[in-house]
Amino acid sequence: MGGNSKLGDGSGKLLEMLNVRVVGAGERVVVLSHGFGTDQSAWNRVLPYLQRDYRVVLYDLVCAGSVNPDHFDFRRYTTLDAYVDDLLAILDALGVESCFFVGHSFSAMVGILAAIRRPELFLRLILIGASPRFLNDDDYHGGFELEDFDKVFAAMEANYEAWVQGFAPLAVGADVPAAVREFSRTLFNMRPDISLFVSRTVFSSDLRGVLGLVRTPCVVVQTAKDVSVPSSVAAYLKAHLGGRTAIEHIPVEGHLPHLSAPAALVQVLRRALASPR
Amino acid sequence: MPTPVSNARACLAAEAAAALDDAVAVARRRAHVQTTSLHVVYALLHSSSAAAPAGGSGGGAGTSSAASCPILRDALSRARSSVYSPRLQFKALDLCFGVALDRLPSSSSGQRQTGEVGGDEPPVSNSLMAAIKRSQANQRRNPETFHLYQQQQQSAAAGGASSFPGVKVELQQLVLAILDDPVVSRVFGDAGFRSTDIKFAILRPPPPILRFPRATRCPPLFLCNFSAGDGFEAALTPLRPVLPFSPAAGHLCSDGGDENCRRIGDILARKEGGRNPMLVGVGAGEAARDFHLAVERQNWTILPPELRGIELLSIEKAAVELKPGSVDLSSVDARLEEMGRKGEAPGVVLNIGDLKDMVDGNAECDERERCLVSELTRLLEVYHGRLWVMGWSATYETYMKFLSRHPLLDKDWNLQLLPITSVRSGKGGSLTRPPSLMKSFVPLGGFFPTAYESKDPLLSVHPSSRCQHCDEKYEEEVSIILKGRSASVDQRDARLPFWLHQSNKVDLNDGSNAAKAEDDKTILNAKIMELQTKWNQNCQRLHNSCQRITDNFSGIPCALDPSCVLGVERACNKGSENPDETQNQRGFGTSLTMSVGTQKISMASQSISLPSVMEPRNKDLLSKLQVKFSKSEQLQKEGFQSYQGDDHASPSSVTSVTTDLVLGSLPESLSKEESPASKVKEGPLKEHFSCLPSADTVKTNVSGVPVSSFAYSGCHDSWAKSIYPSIPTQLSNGRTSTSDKPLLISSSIGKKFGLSNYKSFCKSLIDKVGRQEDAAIAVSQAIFHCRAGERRRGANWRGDIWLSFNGPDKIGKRKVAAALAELIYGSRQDNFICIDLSYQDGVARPNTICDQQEVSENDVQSRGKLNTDLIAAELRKKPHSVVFLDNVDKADPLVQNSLSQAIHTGRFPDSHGREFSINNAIFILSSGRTQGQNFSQKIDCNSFCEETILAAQSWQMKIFLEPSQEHISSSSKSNKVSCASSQELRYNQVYLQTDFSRKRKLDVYDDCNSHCETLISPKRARTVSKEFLDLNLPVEEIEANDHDSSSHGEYSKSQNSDPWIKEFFDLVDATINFRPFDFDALAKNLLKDISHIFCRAFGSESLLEIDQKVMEEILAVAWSLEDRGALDNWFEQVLGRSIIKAKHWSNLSSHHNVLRLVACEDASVDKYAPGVLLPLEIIIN
Repeated sequence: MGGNSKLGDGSGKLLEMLNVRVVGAGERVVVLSHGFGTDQSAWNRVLPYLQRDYRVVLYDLVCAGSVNPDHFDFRRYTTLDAYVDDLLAILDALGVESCFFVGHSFSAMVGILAAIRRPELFLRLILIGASPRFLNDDDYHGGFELEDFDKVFAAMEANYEAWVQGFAPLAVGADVPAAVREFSRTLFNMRPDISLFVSRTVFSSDLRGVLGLVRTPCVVVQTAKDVSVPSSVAAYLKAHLGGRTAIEHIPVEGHLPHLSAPAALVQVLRRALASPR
Repeated sequence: MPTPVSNARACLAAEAAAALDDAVAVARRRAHVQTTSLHVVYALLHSSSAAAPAGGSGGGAGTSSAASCPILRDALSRARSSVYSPRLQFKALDLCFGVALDRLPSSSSGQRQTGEVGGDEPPVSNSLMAAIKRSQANQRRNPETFHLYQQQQQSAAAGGASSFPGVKVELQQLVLAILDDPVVSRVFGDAGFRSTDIKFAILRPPPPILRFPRATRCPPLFLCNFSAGDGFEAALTPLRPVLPFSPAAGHLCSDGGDENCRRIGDILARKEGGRNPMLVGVGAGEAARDFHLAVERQNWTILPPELRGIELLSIEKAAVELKPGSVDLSSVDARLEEMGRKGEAPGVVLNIGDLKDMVDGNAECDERERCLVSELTRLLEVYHGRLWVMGWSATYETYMKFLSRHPLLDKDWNLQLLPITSVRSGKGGSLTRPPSLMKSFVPLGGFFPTAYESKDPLLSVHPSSRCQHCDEKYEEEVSIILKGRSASVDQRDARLPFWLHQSNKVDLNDGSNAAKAEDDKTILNAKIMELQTKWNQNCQRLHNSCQRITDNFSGIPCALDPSCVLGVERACNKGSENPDETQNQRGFGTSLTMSVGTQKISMASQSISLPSVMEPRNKDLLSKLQVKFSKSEQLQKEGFQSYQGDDHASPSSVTSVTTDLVLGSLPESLSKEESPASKVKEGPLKEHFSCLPSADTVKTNVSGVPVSSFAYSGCHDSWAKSIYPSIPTQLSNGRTSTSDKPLLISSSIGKKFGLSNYKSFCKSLIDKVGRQEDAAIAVSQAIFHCRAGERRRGANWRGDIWLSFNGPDKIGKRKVAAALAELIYGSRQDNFICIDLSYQDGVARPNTICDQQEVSENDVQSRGKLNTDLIAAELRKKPHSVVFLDNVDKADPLVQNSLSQAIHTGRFPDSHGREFSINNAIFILSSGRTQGQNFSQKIDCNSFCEETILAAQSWQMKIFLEPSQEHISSSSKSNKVSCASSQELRYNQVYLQTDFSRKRKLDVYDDCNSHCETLISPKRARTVSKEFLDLNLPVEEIEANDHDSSSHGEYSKSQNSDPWIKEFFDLVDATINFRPFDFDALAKNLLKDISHIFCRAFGSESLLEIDQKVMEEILAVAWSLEDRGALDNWFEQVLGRSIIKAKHWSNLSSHHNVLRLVACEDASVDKYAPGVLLPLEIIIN
């Protein structure tokens, strides 16, 4: 229902709603999908490097601060699947037949699901700061305990701004003031209730069971130190993702390498985009 | 008709009246006809500093207006855009208001005696009075004070005393209303404030608004509400939360369960393809249960319409336990046949449950399973379209296992995999959801404890204590109650999506509703509790033997009741608050979007009005100006040229002009001639401005003529070129300087480039660098060339110079560049930009000596910046500078782009598209390659190559003492100081023969058997015998290393920068090749010094063996240091002392001792010696 009706509404509206942009002059399509707390501007520093060789599709997740919050349907975006719907609808609307998908964090999850649903559409998934599950489990270390989340949620509710101020430097990790500023900005742009809702969605998602369904080759980009994603998760992804999976380590810290160390990320991206299938 | 002040004052509360009085005082002081809104704002702004006594008229009872100032001031300080400094913006604001007030008509011709009251008070203008009236109206409508006013009005009516409406306007309201005054907002706008922002800031007390649950008491008013001056009704708009009561609305705030059901339904409803869902994922079990419940409850709203009436049979238990196989299926068969006859329902979904149970079964089960599967396959074929199968599996692996046991089953069964990713409970479906998570879903969690009490039984008691039937009945009743209530509370709100959504309805009677809702809540809770106990009892009494379905409820009981309860809670919370808080709550959503909006706006304004942008703009303007001027010059020169051709036919006369100009003193006559000319040309120039080509041709004429005519002289071609064509540039420099101040520097630079200065320039450059003489000469030639206007790029008339430094000697290149900066621009701190493009942001820089010796540019601010932006930022800071870009061949595409654009257009764009003029910059692009060839091959005959030196890090050093028999036996007896790399078994022994002839000869023995271990003596023997044979081995190794690193780091380079760099280097003004640095000579020198020290300390009998690493360290330091002083110091202070210490320590001078100076590659230096990156202490072991 949800996704289909969106398509029926006319994809143009969706494209406009989610600020879809297509830039660059390459043949191959790269979709850059931002993560939680950012919007497509997060890719600004990466974009110039890709623009020359690729057609880059940028869009905002519906939860981004740059999207009119009225579009965020609390009934619809209860699971990641709705975001997948959006992504696939965008790609269909743009007539993309195959693309590289670069997804950060939340979007990495979306990308995985999208690739499960439409394997033919994705040449390769490049997953930055990806995690199939953030909560720890018996034999899985996701990095968070349930209590941590409750604390986080409580903090978000109590004082969103304060939480943003505290969380942004933590997430960025590396001592890059510009990146912290940028991330704080976009994070604060999100309406707090949406932000809270989405983070709940993220944290109540568990992709572990479905990783094997991915047939698309993946590149897992893992930074040296990521508050949200322990490095064991990258190994887990490599072990469980169904396609050929490689791990790329970037020698920088932080959950947002595209903000804090774009050039380093770009090297990895270029390699991942260029390597033969 | 203006209003007398006293009348206006009567409408105001004390504070506001005081403000008005201040305003009146201001107006009077300025002798204005009327007191306007501007005066009020001005007074408010100044009240803090002026603390004006309430101007004579005691209406405000002398209330100091000090209290009033914070309102506006605070608001301003929060509303101001962050782009400017607050001081600046406030100053601007003051100025703007001052100017605005100055513009007001003043009553010069005596005071108009309009007011009946104090004639000396300028009456209140209509616009201000209107603002007061507006604020009065607003305040009257304000719910906070609504009742108060009504009472007041009533009492006033009863008393019948007051003639004016009973509302006394508070200052806040007054300010708000005044801000609506277009005149005021215009002035604010001039000062860079938006009155809407200010209003917002006034209404929004700074921090607490962002608190989630309780907002402060101020009424939330937002941009949209300011539509008209009196748009305050909108503020009262109730933003009712959604109350998802009815079953139809039950899915409103579910957390993914319904979404999953919907997806399952979508698959079931498919006409072709896989139409039997196979749920995979950690949450799959839950999803299956949810679906089961939804079908059982006939909750068709979440399923596609064609599935309405579908039935679901679960053979899960059967499949797990005993697998009576066909028994179950036959019933299915029967049911289907029956249904087929009746044609009532669309079909049956058969849930086979968790695949894990089937897969994990033993051999016996296997048989049955196979049986079951084949039977199912048959049924599916028979009842195609009316029978579905669904199953689930927590992991993909289980599913694969299942498939492997039943190959092709996914085709036979038309299975459609459905990834289920949402998990509701903390751990994959095995735990009940902890209440805390639940709590946090409730916006006002913890606000009303009773609500929780009502919830808890629902969550915990209910699943365990009632059976399915009772449960259903119980829920029915609950929903009936809820429905009833929802109707009673507020039907309208049901259509609102969620608790923060905005609606446009006006509801003034919020308060009464609230009270009602509170009552409702308690009643409801009681009712629900009652029902629970009732049905629990029922259940226990009647259905004790019923099959419990606790399993199904382990996570969340079902989709319906939590949502209901949540909804109720929300309703209660919402409804029972006092109206203010509810409003705030609701308003919050809007306030945030609003703040987003303003933020965006401020961002936009930032991008426009950022000073950093302004500056380049200015510069652009300047450069444009310059272009303009240069063009005018060209035009003039055209005239001048012809004139020259006539009169100054002899070259000597022209040169005399040159020298004049070169000396910087423009001939009086010339400049006089020019200035009117340029003035005259200003007008027509604008026309010429558009037609660039013509100007170009003029220019080429200008520069072309003298060269061709004067290149006759006997000196070097280059010399001729560098001298003679300097006429036009000198002219242009001189002229622009007369007309354009900021270009003074360039003109003064221009002065330096006279003929007489060339030699001295060259000389001082060489002096400063101390080596690379050829390069220095070439550089100075190139610079003089360019300054003289002889541009290889041709057409452009610009001041920027582009040089490329090729070849080795990284440090030397940098030194040359720095020296250039010092010579041309004056300082190597302020006019030298040095950026190594091979380093990318954030990527850890190697901790090498050579890099640390250079300016530590990796300060925090530059971290995370793109190189382009880094360059641009530096250019902005230091427009007059030498920009030394090392490793251009490793530049990323962005920098490549920017550089290309810069060399073509004269502007350096950063990644945001802002452009920075490079007109006064010298770009030096350095790369290690010479004509496309890497230099490392060229110097492989040396013992130390640049890469190893560059890679040298400062390690702690150690001195080992060793008896030396073996050593001496293997090498000549007379060695004093040797340099060896012993740690890696790469024996690199540099023997210094200091013996008889005092003639030092540097011998290098290299052995690269780094794989072998510990076999020291044979290797030494071999080393000696092999002599130079192994020399190329380390080079290979280095290259291999190089390759390793490049494969990783220089990916982009190898891929795309090669053609670019070639192309780009063709564009530069001059290419200067550097020679490799002679490290061996330096090493020889250093060894000499060391041996001096050693000899003095230890005597001639012993040996000092210096580890290769140590030598590299010392070399790196020596190479990158400006002068040797610090290093010599180190030799004396640190090395010398250590050697002496070692001697004391050993006390074995009778033997031939071998001292080994070794680098500890596991410990970096913690204390550096002053001035050098070498350890302060050497450990003696």
